[in-house]
Amino acid sequence: MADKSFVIAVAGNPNSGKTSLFNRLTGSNLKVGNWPGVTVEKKEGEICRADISFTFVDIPGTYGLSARSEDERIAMDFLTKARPDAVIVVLDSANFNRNFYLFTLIMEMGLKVIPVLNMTDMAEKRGITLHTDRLAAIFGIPFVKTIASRGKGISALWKVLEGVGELRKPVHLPVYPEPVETAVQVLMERFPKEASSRFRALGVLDGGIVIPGNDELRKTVARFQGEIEEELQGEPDELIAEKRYEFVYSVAKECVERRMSTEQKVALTDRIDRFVTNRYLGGPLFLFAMWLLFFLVFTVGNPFADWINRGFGVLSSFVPGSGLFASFIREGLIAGVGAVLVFVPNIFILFFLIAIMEDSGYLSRAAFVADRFMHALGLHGKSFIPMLLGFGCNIPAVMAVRTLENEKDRVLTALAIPYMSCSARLPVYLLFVGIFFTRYQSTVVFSLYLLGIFIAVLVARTLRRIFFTKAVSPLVMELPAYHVPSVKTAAHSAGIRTLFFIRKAGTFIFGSVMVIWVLASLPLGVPYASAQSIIGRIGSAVAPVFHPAGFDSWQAAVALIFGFLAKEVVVGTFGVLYGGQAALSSAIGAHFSALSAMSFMVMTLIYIPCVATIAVIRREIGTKWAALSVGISVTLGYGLAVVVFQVGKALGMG
Amino acid sequence: MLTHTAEDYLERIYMLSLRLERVKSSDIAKEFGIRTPSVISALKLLKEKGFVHYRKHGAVTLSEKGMERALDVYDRHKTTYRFLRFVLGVPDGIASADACGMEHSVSPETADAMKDFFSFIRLKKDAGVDIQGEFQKFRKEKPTVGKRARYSDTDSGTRRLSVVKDGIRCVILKLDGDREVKRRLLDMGVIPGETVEIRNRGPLGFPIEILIQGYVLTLRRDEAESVIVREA
Repeated sequence: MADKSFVIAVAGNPNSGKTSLFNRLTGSNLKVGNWPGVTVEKKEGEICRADISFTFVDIPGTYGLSARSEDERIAMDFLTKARPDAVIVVLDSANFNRNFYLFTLIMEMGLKVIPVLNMTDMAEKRGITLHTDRLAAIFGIPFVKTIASRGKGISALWKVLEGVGELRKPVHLPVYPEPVETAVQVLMERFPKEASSRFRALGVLDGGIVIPGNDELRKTVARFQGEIEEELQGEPDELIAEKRYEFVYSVAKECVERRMSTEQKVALTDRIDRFVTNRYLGGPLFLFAMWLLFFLVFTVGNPFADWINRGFGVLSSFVPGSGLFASFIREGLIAGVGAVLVFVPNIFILFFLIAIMEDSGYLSRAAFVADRFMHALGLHGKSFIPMLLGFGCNIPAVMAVRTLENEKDRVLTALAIPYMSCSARLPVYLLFVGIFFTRYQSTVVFSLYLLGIFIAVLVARTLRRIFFTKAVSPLVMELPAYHVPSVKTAAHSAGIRTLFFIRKAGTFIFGSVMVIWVLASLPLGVPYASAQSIIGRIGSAVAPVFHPAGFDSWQAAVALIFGFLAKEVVVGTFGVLYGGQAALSSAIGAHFSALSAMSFMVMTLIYIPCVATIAVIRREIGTKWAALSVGISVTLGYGLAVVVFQVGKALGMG
Repeated sequence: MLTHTAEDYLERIYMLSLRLERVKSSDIAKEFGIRTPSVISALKLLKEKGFVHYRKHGAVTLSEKGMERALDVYDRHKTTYRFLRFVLGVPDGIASADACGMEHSVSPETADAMKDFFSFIRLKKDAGVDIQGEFQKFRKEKPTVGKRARYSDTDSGTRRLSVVKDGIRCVILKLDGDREVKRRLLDMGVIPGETVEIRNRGPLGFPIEILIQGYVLTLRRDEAESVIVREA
């Protein structure tokens, strides 16, 4: 049993090796969830050492701490309100100034800090030496050097952690010009009970902290801001940031030794970027990288998915009998688990590759190259990858939105993805074009893909205008130095994401399969999914609704309900309902015309993404947005199907 | 302790005595623009404290103690006035009015320093160094205040980062535009006084890659537009 327990936050810039260090500290004792009220991932790890229980909380990687971005607000709130016992601040040694700036902010919060100078190997390679003894002398606290990716320096960090109870607070902090300090002294009295009152006072002065509906305080702050501006000839936010950076420079001057000039420092990364982000080569290289990503995730991943599918097929063939119970095991239980696990290969490979791209430094370059195009569509450069993946499968695509920093972008991208025509919709197209459009097969299919893209862009742009009026998220993005990615870290991160999917989205998917099974099997004694079953009756009841769209058979309605589980199921359902695959072509030929086939394909493309997609949308951006997504897609799908059929009929194509 | 008004009285009586043979209470009242009875009651008080000799309807004269005090105040008035008028170059009316306020509160040490500085400037001017003139020139142009560069749209050589050519080193003068973007730029080290250089461009000219604080940062055209720089 632990004698003492401490909560330790782990903070740092993005690309500082924070994740590696966090993994090193917590190992596999990891709990992944979301921060309350938001959909930003929260990782926690509890570990016992030297009779002390440590709870490590990974706070979002940020460059600053203001209320202006969601990640920063979460980090700031956790540090100032939850007040961890100490904060490990991971600093990229090769990027001392910018990393130390964040460290300075955290020191100003009046917290105990454990600075970790990470990636010292990269820094040494660039001729940068950090003198921890001098840093320790200046701040009165130990500085730990690590190379987290290789596990170096972790034991030294543990030693500091074990003595965290006796750790002192840093003794050296920035001092601001007189008018700023005067304002800070007065404003600090407004937050008297807070240990981070100095940080808060500076925050309201530089506009980093939004003043809650307090007119009097707002007036006071405005007056101080005016005074500072007058006396120091500059805006408070610039002045304060400047002073903080001056503080950093003064520390760097004492403690950072550079043997080469800054120009030489970025030489290797520079040389690689001469090709990778080149004005002319960057685009083609990006397209190649995207093709490779798509190829690996789907072409390589799908056979594994097929094995899982077939494995579950074999498994259910072992279930004997034809009774209700056997059907429950086969079509309910086994199919339900299979429906969840079938996505695992794609998701694992995708997140493995995303981690590799992120770790190596390519992910932000890809966003840089794609941004101009995506920005024109109303999205961020980083939205390209999720959108592209949508063509393969919407589920990993929606999960990939977590690579986007900004919540608005995450929401818009996740809501646009379902219109990207995934591979599960292709069998439906192929079935119909094979029967009705034999001469123009590829043209028809291609136009459906284009229609999907068009709707995706339209939905994203419209929703941006409705919900996020002032929502151009900036592309003020670091292009980190390239380095060799760690396969272990990538596998770890892919594993976490995959488990997250199974645990969080799996139950929803499994549950939906069960519900459909119940609807298709009851009342007792009816053939599975027949006209007498509940689902058949629902199909018959709603079929007239589809009359304006040209397909009003109960079978089509039931197929669409089953398509909710997975769109390729639409084809299989038709097979069952029209008496086997052999008779399928003639049956469909009899029930549909070329025009109603077209409207049915449009419907299939747009109406409701499959249940698994809804499950991950709900997980990534929340229930309300998921419901909105369903609402929009059903309305749009039905509306467009009707438009296609009615316009076609008016033009005499019926 | 004398109040300011008392010091004012002594000073005023002294100054009136320079041009009038007999200073009467009505003269003082005229000077201050107040009623004679008010002056009389003030004079009674000063008499009690031994600063003035005064008899009803007679002339007002300063005692030895009063004279000493009056000369002292008058001297401080002259010093501050001269400092404001001839060292700082403040217009005459303002210098005179300010001096009337400052003469009471300024300490002997500060007054001494002002006097010395005034002599120092005279000395320098005789030696051919016109500090006062230089200072006036500086105030007129006001190019920089301390280390901070002041931005104005009319300055030649200042431009927005969005129109700067690749590979040219620039000094950041100021940021404007969207507050969210500005906050982010400041946090990432894009601060006035830093040097910046465009390293590369995206396929269609934007976004750009800039070199700042020894690392690479990307900016869209809008964001680059909010950074005001001068070529170094």
